[in-house]
Amino acid sequence: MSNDQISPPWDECDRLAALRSYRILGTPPEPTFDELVQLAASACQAPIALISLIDESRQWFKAEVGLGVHETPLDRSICLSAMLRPGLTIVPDLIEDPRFAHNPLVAGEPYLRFYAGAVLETPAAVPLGALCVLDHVPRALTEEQASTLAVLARQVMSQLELRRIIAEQDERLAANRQVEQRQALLVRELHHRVKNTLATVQALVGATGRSTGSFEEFYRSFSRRITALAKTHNLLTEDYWQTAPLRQIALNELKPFAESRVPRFMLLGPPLELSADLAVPVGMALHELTTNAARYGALSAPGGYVEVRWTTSEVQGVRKLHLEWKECGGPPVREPQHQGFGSTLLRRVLPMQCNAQVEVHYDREGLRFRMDAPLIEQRLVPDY
Amino acid sequence: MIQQTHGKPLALVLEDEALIALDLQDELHDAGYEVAGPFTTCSAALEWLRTKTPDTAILDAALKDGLCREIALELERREVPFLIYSGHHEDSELLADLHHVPWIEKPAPPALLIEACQQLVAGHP
Repeated sequence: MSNDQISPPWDECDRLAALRSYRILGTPPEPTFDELVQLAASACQAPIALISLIDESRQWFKAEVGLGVHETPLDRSICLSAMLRPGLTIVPDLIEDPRFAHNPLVAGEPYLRFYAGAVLETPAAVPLGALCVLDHVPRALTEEQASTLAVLARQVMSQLELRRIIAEQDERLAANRQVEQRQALLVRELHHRVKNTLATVQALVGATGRSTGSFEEFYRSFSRRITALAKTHNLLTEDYWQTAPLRQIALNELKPFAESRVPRFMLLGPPLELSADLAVPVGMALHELTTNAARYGALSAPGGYVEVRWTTSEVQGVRKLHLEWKECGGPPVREPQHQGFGSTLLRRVLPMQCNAQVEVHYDREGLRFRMDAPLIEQRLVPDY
Repeated sequence: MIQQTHGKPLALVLEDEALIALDLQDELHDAGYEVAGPFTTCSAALEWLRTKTPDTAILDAALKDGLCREIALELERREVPFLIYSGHHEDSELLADLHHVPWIEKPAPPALLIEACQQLVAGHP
């Protein structure tokens, strides 16, 4: 019997993958398959009929009549042998066949004697199991019964194929739905953010207006603030309006000073993505600090220098950002008489918007600003 | 029943965009109001409401810690007139049960908000 075994064109790994692709293992009974085994049993006049699928370590029955179990270990499987042979496998008397004589289902309850199974194979000829009929007495199948069993096996496969196509389609639909949901979420998020941004711009008009003396001054400050805001938004847009890299936010503001022959600033810190809630106010703060430094501070005199440092820490599961802006080499610094928008932004907006603790020191040798703020890491629109 | 502070009506501001909140605060000050807040979370506003009652309120609809429903209901219970100032459409399902409340969509001119507040305070018996 063993000399006719040729090595199959599939390996067990592929075969199991093919079996899984039908998403049938472990599913509840279905009338379509139940009817097919009933038909097989009555056509072959056999008390037992099974749709047996050969899994990794068991044979599992999608449908059965007359046996009363839904699976058995593989060492009891007669279908495993049937599956490995093309077409129909008929064993007239199991006790007479050395491969099955010691099978517990043959030697003991329920004392099986007769087996006929038609292989269930995929369109690519990968076997998944068998449609079989069994009897308690040794016997044979008529030619008509044998061909009916083969036809029914093909019917089982058609049903399995249909099932797989539907399952795959459902999965595609679910994936599409997910994309749609993501898109809807983005649109909603954008809409809300645009409205909020417009309201923020409007608040900027008010705040800038209250802190400037002439229209020219208002116009200049306001336009620059809008530009700074826009640059941060550019960075956020690259990540679906969710996060922006802190280094890039700082560079947006300080870039004009990168052209100088002597270095005017240094950015020291690990790569860090700020969520929109933090990126926008931090961007605005860095804009106000840069503007102030360029007008009165370290960036207003040739030898002046700005150092921006940041680190993160984690305390009791909360990640925090520590950001420091330190100027030196500029004209001597005095505490300003008038609290402009810049100082409002640093002292009031940052604490309110980012839950930040903020310090502003007008040291004589240069302005020093420090903020500690929790890093918000929740994304509204999922990352890819 | 005006909760006057130095003779000025008291307006609660609940808004989590700090720039907007501070601008509202300044505008309200200029219009002769005292401001409670601005609060950036519902929980902070609720905490304040445990001991005090404003004459009016400007509420953002969706805050970082949730919708302003609970505060709105509490203000209604105390018969404090208020308005909602939100980036969301009035007809969004967001606060379907609060559609009888004046709803001003962001952005709106500060003058319009102040005028709406004046009317609320004046119209209150």
